[in-house]
Amino acid sequence: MGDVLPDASAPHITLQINGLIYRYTAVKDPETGMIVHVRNEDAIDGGYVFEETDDWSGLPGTTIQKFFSLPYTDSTRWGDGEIAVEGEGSVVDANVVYSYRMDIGQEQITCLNPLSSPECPGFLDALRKYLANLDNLSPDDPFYDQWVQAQLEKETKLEEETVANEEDQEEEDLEKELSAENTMDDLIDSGQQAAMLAALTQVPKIETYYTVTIPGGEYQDTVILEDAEIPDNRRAMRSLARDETHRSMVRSQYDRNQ
Amino acid sequence: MTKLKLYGVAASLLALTTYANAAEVPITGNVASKCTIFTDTEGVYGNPSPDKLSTAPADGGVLPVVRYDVAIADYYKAKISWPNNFSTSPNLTDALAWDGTVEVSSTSDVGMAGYEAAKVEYDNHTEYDLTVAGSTWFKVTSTVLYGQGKSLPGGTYTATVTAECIAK
Repeated sequence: MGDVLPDASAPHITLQINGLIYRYTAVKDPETGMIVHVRNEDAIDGGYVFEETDDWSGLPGTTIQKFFSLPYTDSTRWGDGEIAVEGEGSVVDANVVYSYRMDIGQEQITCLNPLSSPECPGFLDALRKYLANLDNLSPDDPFYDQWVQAQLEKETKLEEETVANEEDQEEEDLEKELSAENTMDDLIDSGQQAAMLAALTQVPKIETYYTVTIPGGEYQDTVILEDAEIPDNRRAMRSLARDETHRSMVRSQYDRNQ
Repeated sequence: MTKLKLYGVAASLLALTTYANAAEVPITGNVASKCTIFTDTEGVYGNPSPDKLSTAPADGGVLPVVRYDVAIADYYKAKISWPNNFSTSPNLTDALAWDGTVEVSSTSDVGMAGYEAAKVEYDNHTEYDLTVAGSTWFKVTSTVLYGQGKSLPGGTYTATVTAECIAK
């Protein structure tokens, strides 16, 4: 059909023919025979997808126009058309008009680019990719509103994450403080202790303790014991003798019982 | 006497019964027209010279075209009349010379090819015998000359083509 019909080769587009009008003027002698075929080849099944024959034999020529209402047929079946004349005579001012219906899968066509409409599948993913590659956006950009919304959401998400981290840290610290398995390191700030010791070992501060001078001298003996005879303690000796006697008497009682 | 009286009563009852059963049953029906006329193209007068109006394309006009659709063959005649007066026009003080023709413009069937040759013309009327079912387009040429080389007054001129479908 060449360029007679619109191009329907794009995906999701179909073209169907549902009618035909032709018009021509037959120029002939009324006495002669003439047959005119108006037809289109069937590009798929062979033969003709449409054919109409006008027999002008024995008739004067005039202008004829015919309209045909046809069942919807895909345009791919409609091959080249022709007006063929058999006999004596000719056809002038021929005109053929095809009635067609073009179905366009609007959603599929529109969504070839998912960013075309928020209704398209994959719109959000495509939008994220698009916005991810942009540092800044002009208010004239068609996705400016979405970009602003995305920035606000990003900030909100960041704040939420920060708050959540702080809460987690607080909980962790509290758990450590309440834990029975505290170690010395947990209770004492070893760094602080080390700093303290380091401060104490500084010479200028500890020198005073080492350099104290205790005033002293020589302490002379003041008691002098002279040699003399020390007599025994008689009273003690007597007491001891009595005690021995008493013990032997008591003991003797036990021994006798045996 | 008794018998006669009885017969009289029976006759009266029969008469009453017959009168009560009478009814009128209407019958209605619609007949769709088998011949319809449509204005395919409205005409326009061109003004090729000061004293002339014409629908011919060569004169700057547009030919009016009327279409006859006939559902059954050989039952109707088409009668088309080109105008011989203006429906509306400025005040005219001189005579008008009217002329016109009616021709078959196109047909929907080869069998109508003979219409033009078989047409009958008289006065401003043209008749065609619609012997074939289908559509036929007729074009009308109308020409009018004013006075003897007199200029037509300025204004709007309207004339009417009359198309009739006459049952044979």
